[in-house]
Amino acid sequence: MVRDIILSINDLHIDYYTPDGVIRAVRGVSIELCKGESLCIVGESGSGKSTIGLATIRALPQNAVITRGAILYNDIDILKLSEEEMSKRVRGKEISIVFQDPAAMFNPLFTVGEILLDVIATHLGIRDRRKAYEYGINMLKLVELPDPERVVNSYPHELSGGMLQRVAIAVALSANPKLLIADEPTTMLDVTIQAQILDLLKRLRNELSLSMIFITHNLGVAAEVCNRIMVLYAGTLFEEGYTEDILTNPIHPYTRRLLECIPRAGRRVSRLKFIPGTLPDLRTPIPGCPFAPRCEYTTDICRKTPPPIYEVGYKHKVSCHLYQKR
Amino acid sequence: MPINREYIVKRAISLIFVVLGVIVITFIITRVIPARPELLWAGPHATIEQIERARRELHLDKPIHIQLWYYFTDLFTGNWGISWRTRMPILPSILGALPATLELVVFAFILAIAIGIPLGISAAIRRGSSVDNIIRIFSVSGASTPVFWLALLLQLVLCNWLGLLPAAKRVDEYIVLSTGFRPITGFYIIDSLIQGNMLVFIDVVKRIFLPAIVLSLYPMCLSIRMTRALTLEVLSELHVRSSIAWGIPRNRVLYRYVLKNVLAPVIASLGLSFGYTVVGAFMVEIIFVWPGIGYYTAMSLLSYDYPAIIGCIIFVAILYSIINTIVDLIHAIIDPRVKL
Repeated sequence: MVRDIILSINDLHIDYYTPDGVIRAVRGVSIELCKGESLCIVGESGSGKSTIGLATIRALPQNAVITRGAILYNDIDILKLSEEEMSKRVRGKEISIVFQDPAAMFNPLFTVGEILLDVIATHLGIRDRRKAYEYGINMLKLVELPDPERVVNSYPHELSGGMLQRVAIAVALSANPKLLIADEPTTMLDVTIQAQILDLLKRLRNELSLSMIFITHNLGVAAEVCNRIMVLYAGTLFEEGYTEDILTNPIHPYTRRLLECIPRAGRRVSRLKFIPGTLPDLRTPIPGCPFAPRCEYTTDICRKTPPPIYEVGYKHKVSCHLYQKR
Repeated sequence: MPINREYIVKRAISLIFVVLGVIVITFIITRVIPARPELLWAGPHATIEQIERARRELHLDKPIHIQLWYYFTDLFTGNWGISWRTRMPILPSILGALPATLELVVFAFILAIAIGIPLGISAAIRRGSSVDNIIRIFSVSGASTPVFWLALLLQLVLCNWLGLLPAAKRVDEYIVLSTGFRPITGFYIIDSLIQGNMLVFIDVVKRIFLPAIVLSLYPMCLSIRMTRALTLEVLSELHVRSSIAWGIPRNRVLYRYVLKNVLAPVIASLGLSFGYTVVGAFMVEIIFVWPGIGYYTAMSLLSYDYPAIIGCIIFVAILYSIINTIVDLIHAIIDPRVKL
């Protein structure tokens, strides 16, 4: 089965320069995404998942430096394009993004319509305001917003979080990108709205044959939308595979613990489970497996050498010393 | 742009209270100064009877609350009294001096905004570079430079030593007389343009330049610092990143979107600095012999000219309140979230 690879990230390393030292946020992550596929990057806060999303669209903060690696989108090297080429050819047009905080995504002094129409005019070259307006209204209808004529003239503070997230999706998709990066798009929404947004994203993905990278800390959400899951910890890959494989046959101890943490109806528990401990300090070098201090199966080798990546099934990779002899 | 009427009404009511408060406070202050105005009114070599008559004419023999009552009633009927110094009605004198000051202050604010905001933005987008450092040093030293010192220094260097610009006055009388220039609005730049009188226009611009630069220094440095800080703050907000990530070119994000976020608070703070600028204008107008309100007020102060002092202060307070109200309304237009 040969499928076109739309995005391939090779051995990506990203550092943040802060007054307190250099934070090595991403430590050698590789991703391959096929057309029409949706990949979920799961990890705790600080695991580097958002950083990868931002790097893909070259919107990292100024203190972030990509020290190694390559990001190829349809064989275009994203990291070698100039800033103007990125804006003109890639951002919004090929790759687009929606962020976590819907209210903060929009400039408070402009109506959401001004931004939507600006993106439409920039990318599609529609100079006629009436045509751009009609196109914008159609985009808002596509994301199932009621009363789009009112929404388009509203300021961000006049709309709810769920509505704003829909508008953000409409803006992000208005120039027909092929790849959508959704950086925790439901984290800040009510649970009922979360489900609606997830349904919307699934529908749009099928209708527009989008490829998608979905970034979340919630394995339950990941299972809902994506056909592949990638578990990230401290900027390194822990486990990657098809959603069913990960959910039914999690291999890495961390993935197993994560799955145990999802609260489920019908399972009687007195209190929610959690993984004791925190992420390691990313400013210091980590000699072995970054999960070693929190893992219940830690041996000496875990503390000393970083685990290699083992293939444990069809497109199912895991990075853990426990599987050395299999 | 839907500005709600309630907002305007509330602003107007607070304006009235500010003005009433100022009237009372200035009245009390001038009565506390240890000076005997009836002596000034009667003039030198006055006899005791003349001084007594002056006391009665000025109602200085009445209790102080009666004096205040007289002042209130006169103020609201437009009778701001006669200046003890010039023997001229005060309100017309102030109104006659107003255009000179307004022209100077407006020119200074235009300079401050036109130079301050671009400098602040360029410092912010080159944060940490040598350009940023130079602009920051300039803004700190500029904001802490005394106005009178800078005025004298510039006069000395540019006018006395180099002879580049005239040192004082609004316009050269000789050019006015020889070209038949007549003031219409009192704003000489506008007047000379209306009459197509280029000689006067050039002279007026040359003469307004120095005092305006001196006067603009503080608001300019204030706007540099505000703009720089606000631009850095806004640039770190998510909406900047998302706009860029959606493909809007970086420069347009900066100059169309970020600029508007920066402008609203900068304009608000410039409105507040207007009071400081008017005080600065007092000294600048004396040094540059500029026949504006500042000059008039300073002269009144020096000769214990009570009615004129109170008149000037009330006038400036009203002007200040009106300008701040206007600034608030502008802020409300720029920022749709502003509601009182």
